[in-house]
Amino acid sequence: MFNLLSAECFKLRKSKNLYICCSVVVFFIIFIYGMLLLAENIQSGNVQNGTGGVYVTQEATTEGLIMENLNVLDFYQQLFTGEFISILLAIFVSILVVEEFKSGAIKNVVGKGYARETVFLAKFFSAAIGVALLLLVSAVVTILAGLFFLGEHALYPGILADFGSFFGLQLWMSVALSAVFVLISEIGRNVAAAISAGIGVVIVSGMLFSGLDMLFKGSGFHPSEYWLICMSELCPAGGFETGYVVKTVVVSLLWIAVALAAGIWHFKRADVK
Amino acid sequence: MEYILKTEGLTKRYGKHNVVNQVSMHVKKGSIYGFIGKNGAGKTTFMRMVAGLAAPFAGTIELFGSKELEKQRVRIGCLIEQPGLYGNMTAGENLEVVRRSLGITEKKAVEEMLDFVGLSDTGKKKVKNFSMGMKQRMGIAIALFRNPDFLILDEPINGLDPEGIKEIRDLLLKLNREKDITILISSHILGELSKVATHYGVIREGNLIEEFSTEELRMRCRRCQKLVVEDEKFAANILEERLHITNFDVPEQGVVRVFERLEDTVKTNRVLAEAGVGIRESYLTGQDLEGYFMDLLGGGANV
Repeated sequence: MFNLLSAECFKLRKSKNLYICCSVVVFFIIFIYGMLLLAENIQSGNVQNGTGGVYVTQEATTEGLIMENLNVLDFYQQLFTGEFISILLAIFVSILVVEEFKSGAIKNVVGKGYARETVFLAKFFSAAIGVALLLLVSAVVTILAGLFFLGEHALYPGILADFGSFFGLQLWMSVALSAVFVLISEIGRNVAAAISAGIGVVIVSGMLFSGLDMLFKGSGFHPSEYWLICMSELCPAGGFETGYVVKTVVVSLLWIAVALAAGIWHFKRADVK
Repeated sequence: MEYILKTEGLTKRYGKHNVVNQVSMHVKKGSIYGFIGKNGAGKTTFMRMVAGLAAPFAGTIELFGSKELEKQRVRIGCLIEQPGLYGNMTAGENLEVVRRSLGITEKKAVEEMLDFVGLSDTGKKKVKNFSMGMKQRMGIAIALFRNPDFLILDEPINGLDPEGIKEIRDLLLKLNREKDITILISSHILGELSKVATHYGVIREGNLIEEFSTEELRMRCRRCQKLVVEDEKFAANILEERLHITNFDVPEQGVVRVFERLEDTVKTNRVLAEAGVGIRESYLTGQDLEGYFMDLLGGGANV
């Protein structure tokens, strides 16, 4: 396993996929900050409303300027309430896994004394490392760009502790989600199919679980509380209760276990071309 | 007899169709085993099963005399179909991935291997920009990492120019003779295969129809006078006693093949006829390798 992980880390280091996804994250965060800055300038009357297609309805006099009410943790939380990060993870993991099958390089390790499950797990760990790097970049850029765009009030006393906890929970859920994407990619073995299926899962699952919540309305059971994407979107940015943290960790762990078990089961039976 | 690879009744089924059917192959230590068959005959599928890339439907595989395949496969190097390469990496980086995957501690192994396959001067050129021949050599380099005892090569000279083909041929002979590596190689180019192979296996529609050595092949293709007679024992006696011919054989009932005095078959026929041997047919025969294989494979253009 150590040998395979060493090779996987080397591949990650050389992976255009990782660098492009990181660049997209950086660009996206700076772009959103830029949009907020533009909105604030519109709000304060420095720029005409509607410039760049941005319209602001919030009155500066009653509710304060947009960026005055924002800190880096709020901003970072907003990143996860949309589907941007999940979709990016689906794309990153799909390319990472399917590339092995597409290039045929998977043949260089399968049948070389490694059990199939070891090969599969190494790929999952590689995806998890890549996901962790992506999230780390997103966190660092959010903080640094936040200091630049928001000024000193971007960081209130004690915010880093909350930021760290939020980051930890999001990272753990993202790693679990990456296990699901690894499973999809292993079964799909085609970049377009895996990306489409991954994005499909991200977009459709939210609606599906909302529907399930309605179906179980009144029973006290909320299926969306057990689905990673919904959990990630609803994760609070502070005031973490032990019960919530434990539940998040355990549910994510279950998803990892289920996705890996299914992936290994399939990979052990499937032929490698 | 020490076999590096021995399969018994190896079968691969897709749906209801057996693409490899009851194949029992025997690859001797130190041999270069030429695996011949048309496109879709089952060569690649068979090799993939041996390499652990596909699971057999039935049958057994023995590697180095053992059925603990996962352990033994460490001693195999494979190049099956296209070499598995990362197009956006250089040759050195590709081999670095393999070095790490296989747990080879010597970092200089990458340079040495590049040197060995003649790719040490490719520098920062990405593999996606390599020629077909260079990619094939990369594939062989990957297969040779960790000094395998047994090489499985599926169509390694496909798409190569004559110079590339010669390079690969020389490399295989060097590996076989100097490093005592046993090689299982499939190819469509029979002429090339016959320059390196010491043994052959012929597969047709998933069935291994014959295995033989180069010596046996030469004997089979040898020029001879073929006699179809009523009584092969009587004919053999006459050949020995009256014509003093000893270089002949009886491959099957009613058939005698004479390998000498081919310049005077009229005399042979006359003596046999005068002695009372009933001759149904008498003709000179002999094939080149390609013709022989074509007959075995049932003809066809894509062999």
